[in-house]
This record gives sequence, structure tokens and C-alpha cells, in this order.
Amino acid sequence: MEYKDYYAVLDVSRSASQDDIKRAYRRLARKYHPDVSKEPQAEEKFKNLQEAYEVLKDPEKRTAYDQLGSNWKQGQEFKTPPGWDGNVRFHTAQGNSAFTENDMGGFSDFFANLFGHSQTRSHREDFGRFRQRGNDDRAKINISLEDAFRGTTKTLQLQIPEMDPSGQIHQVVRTIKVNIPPGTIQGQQMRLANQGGQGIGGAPAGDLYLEIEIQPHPLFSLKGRDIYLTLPVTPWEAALGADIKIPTLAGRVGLKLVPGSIAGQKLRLKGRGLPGKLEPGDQYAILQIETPLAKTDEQRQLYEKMAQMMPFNPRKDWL
Amino acid sequence: MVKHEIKIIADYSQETSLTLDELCDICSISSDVIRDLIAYDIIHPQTENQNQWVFNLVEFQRVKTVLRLQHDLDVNFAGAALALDLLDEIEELRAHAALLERHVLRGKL
Repeated sequence: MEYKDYYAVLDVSRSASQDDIKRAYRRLARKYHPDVSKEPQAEEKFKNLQEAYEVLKDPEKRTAYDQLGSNWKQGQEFKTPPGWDGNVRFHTAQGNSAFTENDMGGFSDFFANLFGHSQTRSHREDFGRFRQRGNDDRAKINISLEDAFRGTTKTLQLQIPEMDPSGQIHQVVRTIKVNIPPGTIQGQQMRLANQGGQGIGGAPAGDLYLEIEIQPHPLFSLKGRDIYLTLPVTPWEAALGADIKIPTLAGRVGLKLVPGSIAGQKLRLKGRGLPGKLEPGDQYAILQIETPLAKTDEQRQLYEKMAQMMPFNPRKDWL
Repeated sequence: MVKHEIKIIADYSQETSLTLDELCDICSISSDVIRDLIAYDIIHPQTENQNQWVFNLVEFQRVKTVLRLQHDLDVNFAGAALALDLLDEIEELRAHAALLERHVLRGKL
């Protein structure tokens, strides 16, 4: 198992006061809390923080941890020293222990070996009255934007560890066929009751939550049920108007560009977004004017002619 | 040894919602906590037959987020409500910025 440098995790020195440790934990917890953080691997970092704080906030555990010495490096191969008594201390403190089996589940082997994870569990099971609802599981269903528009069926295979009555763990493959109707939106969730992790001591299983993840599309962006598309046009199409065939999820539809259209303009195709129970979303085409480079003498002369014939100053508002 | 189980059929067109009892059970909280969350305007359950509250999965996620913020960051319900509002707003702004970035600026800024 790997050694964990709890001081490095909290970014404090080994001589930091309990107040320093609390402050450091609070600062980093706000930064890496998975509900508020956009940092990469926030969940992992937050779990490490919690584990480090669990040890360093408690003077007894901190003293025990410090006894390992300061020569260890983060990630170094580590074995519990002979005669290590972390387990014993944890046992006696169990009655009013602040964390639950569930919290400990996320902590490292390093923590469990020093402060007694497996010991705690068997101790509780001896009493035969430890019951805990199974963990809730989550699974993402990746679908394309076209699938979200038309509806689809997906088959998931989840491998789930299950304990039989003799305590043996077996892998069970559970197949779930999911019907996804037209107009399913990004992040939409579904709950399958009691299809999550197995309960302990006869308690009910947890639930399984499925979440829709719509893959990025090369042309379209999605906002709720609305679809956005860039519509590039030439300067003469913008100035003179044009009939343009616009791609939508249901195929191409005609759009009339009025003369004098300007860049950034949002053109709405009503009801061309994702279908909805009440109303479908809309599609928006955002107008962009592309200016061709003058590559030949003739083309350059054309631009020069425009400059002469079209008195136009886009900087007229500058004082 | 790997055991294969029978197929389960899940249908996304059936909206999933939770009763008050289910919500309390899953989150290991009392109904008083739910009443507080409603009073703090954090969740808005629908009332269905016999005045029973029904919670959708978005509300359920909000409850779980509030409980995590409270447990992990010592935030009270008023603070958690504020955090949720700000998170919603940030998400909205990020989505809007991503749209502008892609379809108006087109990666040119």
C-alpha cells in the first residue's frame, strides 16, 4: 500500500497548529468540493482532503500518524509497523466515533490499515444487528443528439459485486434495456428503485440512477430543448437577401434571409428543437458574414470599386 | 464466476418521482428537514392526490447537494440555498458563454 502524506494534502507544515489545519482544510474543502468545484479530479482531491483532515484534526490520530516519522514520501510503498496500535485505539473510541461505515468506504487502504477499517466492520457484524441500506449507484447513458431527437433504445450491462449468504462475493452482470423517448434532454435522470448496491444485514438495496449524456454534435449546440447553429453567409447574401437550406435534426428546411441582414443576428426556426411534452424547442441560426480574400487582380479591383461606390464608414461612432 | 441476471426494462418516458417517505428514507433525514428545505425555498414539491407531496429527481438532487454542503462545509440551509442559486446562475452563464464562444466568436477571441 502507498504512504499518504496528509500534511502535503492539506498543504501545511508538520508543525502546523490545530487551528492552521482547520483553516487549511476549510479553504481547500471549498475549493475542491465536488458540488461547487470545476477543478479536474475534484472528487478525488476532496476525498483525500477529508481523509487527511480526519487524521490530523484528531490529536490522538495525528500523534499516532506522526510516530511513523517524517521520512516517508507521498506514494512510497508502506507496511504497517510491527506492534502498531492504531486499531486498538479506534476500537475503544467506537461508541462515539464521528464517522460512519459509509464515510470510511471512500478512504484509502493506508487509512484503513492504520486506523482499523476491517476490524471495525467485523466487530459490528459480531453483534449481528448492523444494518445498512445499499449504496446508490449511478450510470451514464451516452446518446447522440439525433437519438435525443428521435428517441432510441440502449442496452446497458452493469457488473455488480454481490455477496451470497456465506459471505462470498460474486460478480453479477445485470442487463438493463432503457427506452429513451424523443425529446430526452441533457442530464435527465431516472431512478430504478432497489437496483443499486446490496444492503448489509438484511437492509434494502440502494437505488440505481441513470443519467442521460448527450454527445457534442459537429454542427449543433444544445441549450435545454433549443438548438443553435452557426449560419455563415457571404456579404452579398447578407446585403441582397437569399434563400438558404438550413440543416435541422429533421432534415433541411428553407430559410429566407431578408436583404440587409447583419452579423450576429439570431434567426428562429420555430418548433425545430427537441420535442417536448408541452412545446418543442426552437432552432436558432446565428448569422456570420464571411468575407472572401481578394486573391486575383480582378478580385482586388472589385473590392476597390466597392470602396469607391459604397460610402460606408463602420467607425462613424468613434469621436 | 459471473452470473447473468434477467433483463430489466427501464422507460425514460415514465417520470420518476419520490414520495416524502421515500425521500426521507433515501437521504436518512426526518420529514422536519424536508419541511425546513421547503421553508428555505430550496425545493418545491408538487401536491398530488390526498395532499401528498411528490418530489422530482431535480429536487432530490438539490436535497442531496444541500446535505453534502452542510456536512462537508458546515454550511447552514440559508447558505446552502444561496450556494445553489449561485451555482445555477454560474451554470447558466457558462452555457451561454459556451454558445457565444462557439457560434458568435467561433474561437477567435
